[in-house]
Amino acid sequence: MTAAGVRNPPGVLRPRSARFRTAAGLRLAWLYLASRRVPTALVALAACGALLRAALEWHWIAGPDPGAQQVPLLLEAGTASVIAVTAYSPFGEPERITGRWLPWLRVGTAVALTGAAVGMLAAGAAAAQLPDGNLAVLRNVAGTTGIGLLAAGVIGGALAWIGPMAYVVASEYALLARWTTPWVWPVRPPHDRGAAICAALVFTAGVAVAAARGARDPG
Amino acid sequence: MNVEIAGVTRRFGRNLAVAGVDLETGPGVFGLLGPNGAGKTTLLRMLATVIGPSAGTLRLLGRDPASYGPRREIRRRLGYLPQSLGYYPGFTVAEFVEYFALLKEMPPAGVSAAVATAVERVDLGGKARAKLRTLSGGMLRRVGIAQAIVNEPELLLLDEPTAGLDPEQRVAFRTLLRDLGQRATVIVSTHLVEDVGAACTEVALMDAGKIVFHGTPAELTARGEGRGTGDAPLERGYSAVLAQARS
Amino acid sequence: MTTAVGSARSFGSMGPARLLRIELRRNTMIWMLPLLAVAFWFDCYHWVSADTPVWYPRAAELLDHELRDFSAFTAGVAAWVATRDSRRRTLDMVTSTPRPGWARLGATWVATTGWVLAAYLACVAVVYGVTAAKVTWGGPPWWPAAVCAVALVAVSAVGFAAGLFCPSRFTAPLVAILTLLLSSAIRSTSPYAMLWPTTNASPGNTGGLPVAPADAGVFYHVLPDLPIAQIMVLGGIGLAALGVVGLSRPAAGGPRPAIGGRWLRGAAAAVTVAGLAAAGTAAGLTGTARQGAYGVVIPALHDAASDRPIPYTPVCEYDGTVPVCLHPAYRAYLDVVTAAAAPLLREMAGLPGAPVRVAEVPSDVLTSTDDSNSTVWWAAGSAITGTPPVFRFPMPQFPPGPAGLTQLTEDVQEILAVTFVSDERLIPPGTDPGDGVQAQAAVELALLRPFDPQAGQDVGIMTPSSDAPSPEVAAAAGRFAALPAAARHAWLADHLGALRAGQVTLAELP
Repeated sequence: MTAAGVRNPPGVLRPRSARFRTAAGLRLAWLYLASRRVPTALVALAACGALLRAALEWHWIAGPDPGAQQVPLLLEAGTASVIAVTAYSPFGEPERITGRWLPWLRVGTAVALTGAAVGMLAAGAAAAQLPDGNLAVLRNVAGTTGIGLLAAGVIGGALAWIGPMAYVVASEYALLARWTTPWVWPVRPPHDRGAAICAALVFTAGVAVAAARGARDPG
Repeated sequence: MNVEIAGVTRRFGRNLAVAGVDLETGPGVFGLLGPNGAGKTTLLRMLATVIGPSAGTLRLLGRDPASYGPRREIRRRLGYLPQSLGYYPGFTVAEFVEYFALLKEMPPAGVSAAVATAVERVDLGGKARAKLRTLSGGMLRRVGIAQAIVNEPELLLLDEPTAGLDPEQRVAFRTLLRDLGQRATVIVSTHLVEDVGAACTEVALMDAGKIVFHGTPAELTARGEGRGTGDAPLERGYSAVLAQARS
Repeated sequence: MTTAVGSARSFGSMGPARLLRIELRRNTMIWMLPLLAVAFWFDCYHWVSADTPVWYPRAAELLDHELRDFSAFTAGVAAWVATRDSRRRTLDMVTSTPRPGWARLGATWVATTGWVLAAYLACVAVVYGVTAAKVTWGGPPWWPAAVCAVALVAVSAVGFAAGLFCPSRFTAPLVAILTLLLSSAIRSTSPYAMLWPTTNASPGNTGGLPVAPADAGVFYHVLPDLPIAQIMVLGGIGLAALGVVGLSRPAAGGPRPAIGGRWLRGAAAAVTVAGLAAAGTAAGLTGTARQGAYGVVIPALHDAASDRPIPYTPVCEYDGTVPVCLHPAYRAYLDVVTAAAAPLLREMAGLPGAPVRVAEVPSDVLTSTDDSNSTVWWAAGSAITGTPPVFRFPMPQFPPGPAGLTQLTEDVQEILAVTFVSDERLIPPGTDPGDGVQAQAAVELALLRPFDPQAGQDVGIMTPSSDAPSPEVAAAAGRFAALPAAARHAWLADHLGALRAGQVTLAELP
């Protein structure tokens, strides 16, 4: 073993041109997404969309009682849980001390997956009318994802699904008890401004924590 | 003989990790050297009955591990420390060692004493009630050694046991190895030739899935005189044997 | 050398017990207990403690809420715990030990499920304890509690198996959300939907399925047919899940260790088959379920002895008009019902068919469950019958709190008025009435208006497109109510028979 390869590493591209930087950036993004199992997450999100489609097609949402709103609510929480567990990092400390790209990768992944989740649920409901419409889906998924990301920062990415689960159980209770607080946005009407603001705040807080700290390391 | 291996091969898909190994060894400390990817860990995993050979015969402690009953008997008398030590962060040191003592079906009446002894032997008596998540890497390694020796095994397999140990602990560990080797077959896979020289009575050198040297540390040293590269005699013997095997 | 290895016979049962003790001390489910306690307090306890102080409705609420609150976390954490060796990279170490995989994994699963059951049983103890302090009759029904316990064990087993076979980070959340979906939101008119306990857990809630009456366990025993089928199917699914775990064989170099030897796999196969057989049998039996007079009847499981009435001595109150008698289970509402009925009974005194006694009867779930209408018409079974005439009515369902007592009062008054004026007609809301029926409605409204200005919403004579009485009926009711009491009484004495027969028109009302 000699030092020659270190001074003139074979096959290294001199990163002068934008094309090489873009390629490196895309490569970094892909490796990051792979490490977070994002492709599998997308499959899980698609499954939630398909389940919503099935629920609407087969009239699982039957009757005017609050149960009619629960299937979309639960699937929204499901997508938020899936996004939350993608925050788990298998690398731990060696990754944390790397350069400036990590926070952006975390933010980008969270936002992109949230958008994908909303899109897949909207696609699943495309043939039929969701009780509250797509705007409510966006609000609910974003807000509950924020809860999941906050949970990831506290209890770790792998258990972060507990945050959205606990929130949706509370929301179900709020639905039956007819609460009106905007902090339980899934039970508010789709155009409720207060609920949208609350959901946006929580989503922003979650993304901020994910960017700054990521998920708490296991152990 | 506690370990009898004849023509053992192990494949992972197209990768031939172990390519026809023959080995016999009895009580004592047996060192297993070799470069990265030589097949040491795979061989150790086969000896630990974690995976079976793709071909060849393997007898451990006079039994055939291919059958369920004999395999269970082997595992009762086996201690294994893998290269990558996993652990349950919420467990304490004592609980972790006790957990493995129970998994090894030790008589329940003797478990507490055995756990205390094992923890003391690796010099973690003062940390017995500490949660594993609070320990340093070297301490975790010692916890791993403790769980491997808690049942006073007749066959002890250690993969990189001194990784993360400070020099003082390595010296103590070699003493422990020599002590254990008086009663049991201890197979140590390591990159640290000084560990081999200090503790092992026999050494084998693996390369590309085959054993390219089997003898005493003195014989390995002799192979390197005037030929090998390295700072220590054993290192020169190591490099000389590898160079010859690859030429 | 002192060997630490004893013979197999000396191991005894203490080894697995100590293994279990370690698992119990360090199980992840312990961290979920505060969350489950909060969910119980704010959801289940809130609803149950406000409910009617009668055993079965509270037990059904307990089942419904506890299963929804607990099942998702149980399944998710069980799946999480099953992935422990994969996540913590201890697979090689535990594989190299002699303790069979089924024993090691069994300790992990038992510890996880044990904590859930302990928390659940504590919740049952709280609810049943609080209920025991308030109820005035009867004993706790154990079928709902048993069904919920078996359901939790089953979801734990399924979640554990899912985590073991698919140790992915997504397994736990997906298992949790699917369980919550099953518990909370699935509503189906298929009889097989009844196999999941929360589908129509609340008494009287149909969705077109057979139901237990709202007063189950009061006049007649709670029929065990459906709970037995539910326990069979849930227990069978749980057994099958555990059996499938035992069948697991590791792929070469794969993430799963062998669970046991050949005989263990044979036993696991037998357990799986038995579990599936039990579940399949129960599902088949549930397909034959029908609405019985006292609840859900599954012919193959039905014991005619459970159709016998439960003896009781009614509790009565007499305010000077007629005695009002209720089942002792509803003793707490005797004052309310008496106060509700007394003014109307005074108005009716001396008229043909005026009741001389008020008596509570069991709800008539057969008549009240209309296949074309998912709303249970609770008043079905009300009538003034016998010689001398007795007003018989089933206890209405009403919400908790003061608003509920108000509704109880209004319901009792409305049904008394309706059965007195036309005791054969109980028209579900929205039905198009005939002319004679409109006159009956006007008289009923007139009787009720002094007590309830909103009377008319539920009298059952609404225009098909409105919840309010038609202007003609309202006007006629106003005229009739404006008559002096003596004139009104006299007219009713002369015309009540014709009115009941539908022979009086609105125009003929004074």
